[in-house]
Amino acid sequence: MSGIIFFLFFFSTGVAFAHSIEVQPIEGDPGIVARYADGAPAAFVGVNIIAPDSDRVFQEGLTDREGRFVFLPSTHGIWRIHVDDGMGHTAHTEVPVGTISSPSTQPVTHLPRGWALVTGISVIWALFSTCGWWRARRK
Amino acid sequence: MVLVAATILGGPVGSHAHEFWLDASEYRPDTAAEITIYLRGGHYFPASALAPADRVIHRLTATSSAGTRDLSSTTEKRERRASLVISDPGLHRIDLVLQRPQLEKPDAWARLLLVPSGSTSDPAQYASGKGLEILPLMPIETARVGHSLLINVIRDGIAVKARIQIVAAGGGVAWVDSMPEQPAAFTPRKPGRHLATVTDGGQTATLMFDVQP
Repeated sequence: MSGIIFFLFFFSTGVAFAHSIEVQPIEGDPGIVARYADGAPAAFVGVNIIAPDSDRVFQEGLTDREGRFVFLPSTHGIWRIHVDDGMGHTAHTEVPVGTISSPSTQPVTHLPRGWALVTGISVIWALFSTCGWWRARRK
Repeated sequence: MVLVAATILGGPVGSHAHEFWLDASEYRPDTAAEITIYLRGGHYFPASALAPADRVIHRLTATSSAGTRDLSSTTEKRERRASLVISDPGLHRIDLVLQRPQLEKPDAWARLLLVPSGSTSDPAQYASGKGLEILPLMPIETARVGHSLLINVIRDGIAVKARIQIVAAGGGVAWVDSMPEQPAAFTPRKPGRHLATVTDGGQTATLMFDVQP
C-alpha cells in the first residue's frame, strides 16, 4: 500500500495548476484579458496575435497592468491569441472578428484548478478501485 | 483511505506550482575552476522542464569577496546555462531575479550557495537584504544527513513567518515552519541536492544547497 501511496503522491503533482493563466475574450472588442488562476491580472505578459488563415505572427506585445490586450484586426475571421509570461504559464484563445456564423468564443486555457482537483480525485479513486478489484480477483 | 487520498492530492495541488531554481555542475569546486550554472524550472525537481525567457530575467549575478558581477546565460533545450569561474576561495552566492518587464516587483528569486572545496563560509554573508530570502543560519557546507539545519525566511532583511517546502533530489518532501522568533529546523534524510521553496505575497524564493552523507 505504501508503494501505491508513494506513486500517487508523485502522480498527483501532475495536476498542479495553481498558477496557470486563464484568457477570456473582451466582449465587444478584439482583445483579451489574461488572469492567473488566483485571480491576479497577468500583467505585462507576452501576447502573440495570429491572423485568420495564417501561421505568421500578425502582432506581438505585452498585456497592460490589468492583463488586457486589444488589437486592430485587418480582416474578418477567427484570430488566434497566444499568451506566455515567460515563466512557464501559457494559454491561448480564439477571438472572432466580423460576421462569423458560429464563432468559438470559449477560451482554450489550462484546466481550472477546481476541475484539476476533481479529475485528480477521480483518477485516484479509479486506481484504488482497480487495485481492490485486482486483489479480490486474486483471492 | 479517502483521507489519505485527500491529503496526497491536496498537498501537492496547493504547493506544487512550478518553481525556478539554480543548479551547478559542482557544489564544492576548486578555486580557479570553471563550472556551469544551470537555470532550471518545472514541477518535478530535479528534472528541468522549462527555462525562463530572456525578457523575465531581471538579473543573474555572482557575489563573492571580489564583488558582484553579472552572468550571461543561454538557453539549452529546457534550461539555461551560464559559465562561472571560481575567482576566490570564499563563498560564491549566485542570485537569479525573475521579473516581468515594467512590473515594479520581482516574481521570483532563486539562489545557490557555493563554497569551494577546503573553504568555509559565514552565514552572515548569505543574505542580500532585498526581497524574499531563504536563509540558512549555519554554514551551508556543514549540512549533513541526520544533522539539523536551521533556516530562516526574511523579507527585506526582516524575519517573517513562512512555510518552507524542501525537496530532496533523491526523493522525499518535507515542510518546515519558520517564525520570526524561531527559525525552522530541517533534518536531511538523504545526501545530495535539496531545493527549498517559500511563497509569500505571490512571490517565490528558492534556495539550492547540497547535503553531505
